[in-house]
Amino acid sequence: MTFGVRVQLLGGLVGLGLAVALRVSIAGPAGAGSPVAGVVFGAALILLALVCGLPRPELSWRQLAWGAGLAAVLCAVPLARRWTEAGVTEPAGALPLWAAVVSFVAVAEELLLRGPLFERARERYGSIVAVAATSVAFALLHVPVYGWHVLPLDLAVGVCLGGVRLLAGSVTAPAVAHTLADLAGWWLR
Amino acid sequence: MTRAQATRLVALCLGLLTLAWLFTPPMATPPLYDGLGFPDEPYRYVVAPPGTQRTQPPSVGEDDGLVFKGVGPQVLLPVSDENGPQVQAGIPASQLSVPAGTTQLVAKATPLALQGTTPTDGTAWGNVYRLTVTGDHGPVTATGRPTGDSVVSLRAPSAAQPAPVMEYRPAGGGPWRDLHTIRVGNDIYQAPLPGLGDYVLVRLAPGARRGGAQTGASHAAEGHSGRGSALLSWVLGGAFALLCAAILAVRVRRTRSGEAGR
Repeated sequence: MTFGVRVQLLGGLVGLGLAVALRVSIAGPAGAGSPVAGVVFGAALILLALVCGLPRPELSWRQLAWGAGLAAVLCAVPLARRWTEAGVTEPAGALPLWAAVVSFVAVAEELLLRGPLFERARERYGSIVAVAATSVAFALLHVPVYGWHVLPLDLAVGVCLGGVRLLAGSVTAPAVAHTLADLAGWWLR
Repeated sequence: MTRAQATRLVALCLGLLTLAWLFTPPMATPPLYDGLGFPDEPYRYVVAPPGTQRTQPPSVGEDDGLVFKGVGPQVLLPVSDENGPQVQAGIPASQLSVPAGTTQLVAKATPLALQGTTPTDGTAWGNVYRLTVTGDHGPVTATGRPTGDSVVSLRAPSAAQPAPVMEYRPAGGGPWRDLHTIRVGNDIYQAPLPGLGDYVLVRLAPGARRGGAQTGASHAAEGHSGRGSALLSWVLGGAFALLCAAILAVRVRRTRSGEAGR
């Protein structure tokens, strides 16, 4: 049992690294602006989550409430900034594709990180290590897109998402929080 | 989880988040949205083509630096204010001839409509940007050799391909000439900065050939890099598929041995 858990945990983390490298390689100079690379990345994470043993997500109002609550907290500082600073002009017609890819990747990241990886780490090492390990992985996977300066913030956000995963008891709540926070970004910049 | 443990966890999360916001450089939104980066704001034209979205006028990129005992700033970096910037340039002081007694330099990248001679091998795509440097003791010229910091980047109105070529004409006018252009972002193109003057992206006419041996080499390098990147993607994809198969095999085997043991 222990060997299987370790293989899934380690394999999942290595697979996450390969998925990030694959995404960077496909995107090329387009970077985070490549929808194809984003979709391939999301699909790779969902495949990895499935082979690592994705627990059934719980769909309930309670999960939604936890997710929406955390999203509100994550957006508090950007909302305050947006209140005092002028926003940007949005390109017409770009929102649907952007929102679809962003939601897909946010859910995919949560299904893997706060799904089987969190579960396997918790089974083997306990809740604290599960939150810590998935937070570090979460922060590191954003570095190729944003650079090292976002590491502290994404580490803290990862702990919050892991904390909500523990409190709500399902991957649904962090997936809702991550997706809503990402989508809100469109109107908050 | 007990109520006390939950309270401690919530407090820890809020505390960490507060600390992280305090120590992170200002940014518009939480850096989570890695599904697809935010698209740039619509291109701001000096003279907008018909049918384009209405925008604010384009901004002037500006940077200044002090000169003390004949030594100026290492590099002047005028960058425009759009999101993302439509022009960014690096002008090393070593490339500039500064009049004696100069104490301050101001570099500008000013958006203009195309006037005078037009590129012969295609059509201008976006604004012309005029790079100038002025000092408080007279005009500044760029007569020195370009260095590794001598670059100019222009954002194209869209990421549509084929990629445009950046062209340059000196400050005094003259014909446009192709520059060795590389794509450095979704819709951002960079070229070396041979001097002060006008820069513009040009969409080549069908059948037009890029001029200059340097640009030909750039073509070859881009083609080689594209093939290498595709190969790397296949290798990474293959490794990922093998890893998934291995994890699945371990899980299936464990499940079967568990069932047999019961």
